[in-house]
Amino acid sequence: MGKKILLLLQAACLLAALSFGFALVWNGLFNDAGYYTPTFDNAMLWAARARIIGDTGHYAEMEIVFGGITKTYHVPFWPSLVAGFSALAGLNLYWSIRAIALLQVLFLGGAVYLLAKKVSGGNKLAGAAAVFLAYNSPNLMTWGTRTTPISWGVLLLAFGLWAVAEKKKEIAGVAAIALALDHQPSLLVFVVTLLLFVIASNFSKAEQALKKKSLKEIDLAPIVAGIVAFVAYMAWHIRQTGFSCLNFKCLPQASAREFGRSIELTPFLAKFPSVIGALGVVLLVFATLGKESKEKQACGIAGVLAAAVGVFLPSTPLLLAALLLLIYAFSAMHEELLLTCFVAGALLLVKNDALGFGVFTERFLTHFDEALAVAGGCLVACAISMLNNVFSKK
Amino acid sequence: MEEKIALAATAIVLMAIAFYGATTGFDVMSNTLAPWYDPVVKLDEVALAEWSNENIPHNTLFAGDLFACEMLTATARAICTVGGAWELADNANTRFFENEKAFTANSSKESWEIFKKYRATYVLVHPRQAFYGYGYKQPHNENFEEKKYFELVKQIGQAKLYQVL
Repeated sequence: MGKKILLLLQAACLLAALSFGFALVWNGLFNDAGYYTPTFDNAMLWAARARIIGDTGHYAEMEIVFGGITKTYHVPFWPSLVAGFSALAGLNLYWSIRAIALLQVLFLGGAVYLLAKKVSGGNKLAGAAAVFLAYNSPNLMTWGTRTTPISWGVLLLAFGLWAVAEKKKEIAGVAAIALALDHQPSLLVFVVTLLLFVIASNFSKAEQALKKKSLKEIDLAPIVAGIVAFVAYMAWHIRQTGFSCLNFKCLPQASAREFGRSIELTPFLAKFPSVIGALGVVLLVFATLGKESKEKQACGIAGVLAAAVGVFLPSTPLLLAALLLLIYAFSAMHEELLLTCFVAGALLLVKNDALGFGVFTERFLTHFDEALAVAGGCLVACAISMLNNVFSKK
Repeated sequence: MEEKIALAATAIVLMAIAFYGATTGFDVMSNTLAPWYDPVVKLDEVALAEWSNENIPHNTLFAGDLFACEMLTATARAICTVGGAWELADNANTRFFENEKAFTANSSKESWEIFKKYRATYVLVHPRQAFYGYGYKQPHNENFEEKKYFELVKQIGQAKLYQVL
């Protein structure tokens, strides 16, 4: 009886969280946008690209603004999705966009739920809490609800990482292809996260695998997903620019470089819901490293302390050192390490000015908040686990 | 004990979601997102774009403000002088600058010369403040009344479509 009530309550939590996100998009589309679909940002350009696919069956090879004289470099997933949905559902372009926006926010919630549940050891409540935190992030929802590719970028990112966490390499590969052809910044977060994860999780296993000449020791899902994402994106890049632009310098955006401002993390992490996510990372260290070696426990605690000092000073080198310590502390784990790499990867890209790039910094807050939402869900799971430990000892 | 803790935690989270979502979260988030859902363009501009879709060959080059331009690409199946994704365009800054100049010029001739330079065939004009390149500006729509340079093709509400002669 108790289990049934628990299941019902957990379902109610998830339903309440999903309803919140759905209501936000509904309100945006039918109250704020009202008589038309959004034209702010570049939403209508994407609508036009979808229309061209619907009309001709081909992707718009040329830009449709600025005189229509530049070969396009935009990736085709989202407009193809809209055009395909429109044809299959029999809806006109704008109703297709509205329907996809409403579905997308539910799918985003679903992907965050799956990832947070998996990372927290199957805790459904953690999943539901993560969904609600994600829907309350201005950064994530400003972009995660756009009628443009970024909304699917953040969704595919969470979904792809869930597939990696589940070691489902076929699904991870498909998600990676979709992501590569949908939204470059989200793809970058995905690839950096996987790179950190693969290095950290396989560093010690690689030697054993080489000795045994067997790949059984190696988790192939992140490797497959990373390689597939890279190959898919490069295939598109070569299709659009040929072999003379493999260093990307020929692209107009390489010359018209969009500089990003340096992000101050202290005020950012002090706000709801980011603060919950930051606390989730801290609690993850204390709740899960108990069975690890003393060395790793020490690294975990040192990582938390260094991160706290790094945020308050603020000191980016200290923060980066803290991330390395945390990654090392979790390196023998799987889901916890993936989450740490997700947070670290997104944070590295937010603070890429410290690495000498300074490009698109604030855009990656969207993904950083997504990682923090998942970590926030883990806060709930860790708190429950710690309470259980306390009461079971009594 | 584990089940009791799980039940209590779930009930607390459910109440927190319901309470925060209803009292604070929805207002905060919907206000944050509202500007991004703004249609910006007016109904009469959309109607004029729909008319253009029916009556003007597709892929014709139009001029307008950034948001009207993007709406025209989707609704009128047109090409436009400016738009988003500027980082992927050739000479985007020059094009933004001259597009704004064409709509805010002090003479019809100057506007006409710029539109001719960029081979714009039609100009979508509306009295609202618009974003031609750098911030919201009031257009000098009287420039388009000069019949030597522009011909009114269609008017719906306050939206006017001129052909560049």
